[in-house]
Amino acid sequence: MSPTPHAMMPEATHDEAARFAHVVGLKNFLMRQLEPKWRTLVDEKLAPQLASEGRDAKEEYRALERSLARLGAYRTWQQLTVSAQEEMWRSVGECVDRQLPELERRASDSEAGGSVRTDPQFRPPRYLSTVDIHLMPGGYADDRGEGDVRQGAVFDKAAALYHMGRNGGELNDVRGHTLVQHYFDRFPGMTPQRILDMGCTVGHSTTAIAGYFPQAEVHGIDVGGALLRYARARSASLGASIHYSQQNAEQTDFADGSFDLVVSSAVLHETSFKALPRIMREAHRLLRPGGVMMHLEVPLRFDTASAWNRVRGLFEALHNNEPFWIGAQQADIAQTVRDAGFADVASGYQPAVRVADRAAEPRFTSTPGPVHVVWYLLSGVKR
Amino acid sequence: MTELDPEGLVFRDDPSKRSAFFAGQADVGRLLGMITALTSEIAMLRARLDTHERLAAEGGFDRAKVEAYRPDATALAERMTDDQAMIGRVFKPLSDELDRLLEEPAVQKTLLETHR
Ligand SMILES: C[S@@+](CC[C@H](N)C(=O)[O-])C[C@H]1O[C@@H](n2cnc3c(N)ncnc32)[C@H](O)[C@@H]1O
Repeated sequence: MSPTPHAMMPEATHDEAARFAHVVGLKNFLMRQLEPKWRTLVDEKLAPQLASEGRDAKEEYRALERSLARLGAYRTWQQLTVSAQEEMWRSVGECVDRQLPELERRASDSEAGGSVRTDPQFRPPRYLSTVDIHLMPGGYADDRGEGDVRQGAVFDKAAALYHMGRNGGELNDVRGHTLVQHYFDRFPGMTPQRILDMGCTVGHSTTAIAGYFPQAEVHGIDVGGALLRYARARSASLGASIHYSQQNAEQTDFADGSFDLVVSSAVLHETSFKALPRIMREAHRLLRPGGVMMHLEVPLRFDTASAWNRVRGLFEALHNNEPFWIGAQQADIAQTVRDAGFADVASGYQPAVRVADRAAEPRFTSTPGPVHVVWYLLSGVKR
Repeated sequence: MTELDPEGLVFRDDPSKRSAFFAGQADVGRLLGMITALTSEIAMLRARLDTHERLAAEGGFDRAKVEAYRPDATALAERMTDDQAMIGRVFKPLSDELDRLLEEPAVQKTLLETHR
């Protein structure tokens, strides 16, 4: 068996590991070999021809998508992209199911540390319950009841494949370190005592953040019991005591002013126009005066996206089940933060780091960059 | 439906159904799914064969040794190159068709005509 980064990571047999390596290779092929050809066709051949007639391919991306879909080759590429994603979930699911009783035993025997609070009455919001985001069967909320950790294990194993090593390998913690670097860049003298991570999934970022503030009480919320049980055992095995609870970030049961730092990481693009201001107002309520809110997001904007990027974005939204993918790139999220009453609002790009350093020269910048190289960061202070 | 709803969300016409790219020919979609799975099995078999060959070079193998074998970084890189080449061969007809689309102004013209 291969060495695992923490006690909860499902182990892969020889053949499972080979299938995983292949599905990553297939995704790479579709993304790096085939997709650039569609990009060239749309952005370099079709867009200029439309432009010569005084038309804007970017504006017409929906119609362009429909024209492309008349091509068998385009439909084949679409289907293969979906099939590769399904193959990833299938192969990971098979690996997890083979060892599920063992994983559940490990989660319940695992060292104390942190807690999990689930709510049988909980219903996830429409933007998470209508389709299974990323085509992950069952979605984030899937839970088979007390002791179940399956969805957490599936997500954790797949995330390591999905990001293809660009988010900190098997720990998938670059986003957590990058959030902390943003905090150090903007507020070098501060040390939070109570921290909340909204939309923590299996605690990839939460655990990384907790590592910088060993005295702090750290909470993570998300919509699925199986995710959260897995998250607790995972962070405990990495030496962090984190309190997880099943709650909606739009409305939690924490008391007013109970946190010094409220964050989210790659969550906002999976919500909705209606949820954004609600989440900002809830974060404002939860912070004590002087407390800080930070959100990390994908560094993509719709207005600057090329015609192909828009067509690709629509595909992502409709067929990789990311319903808010385009909406989030159009939303003025910084404005919702100001409207919620935050002061000192800053938005820009934070270079991704594997380790945050309080003493480092601040590198938060207004210059965009590619996904995984920089992250969009939005932060504000409650006065 | 490709318009965002008032909450900024967009879904397939029937979100409860899987994406169907081949209207009236669902079997084509299924066939591509099967080819994808089959390619994964070929990749796994190639990896297993590679394990056997590497262990043989080290003096021999049995089932336990094969199961326990994990490629080191060099072996893994070699396997990934090999896998990319295999994928490239299996999906060559698609990639060739894309190259043809890029080279033929006539096809592009038809595309834009349907677009009008
Ligand atoms: C892409 S994952 C985030 C991963 C994680 N934060 C990280 O940095 O690795 C998005 C998560 O946000 C959660 N989420 C989205 N909206 C939420 C809401 N209103 N309340 C709680 N969790 C939410 C989803 O359930 C999902 O687990």
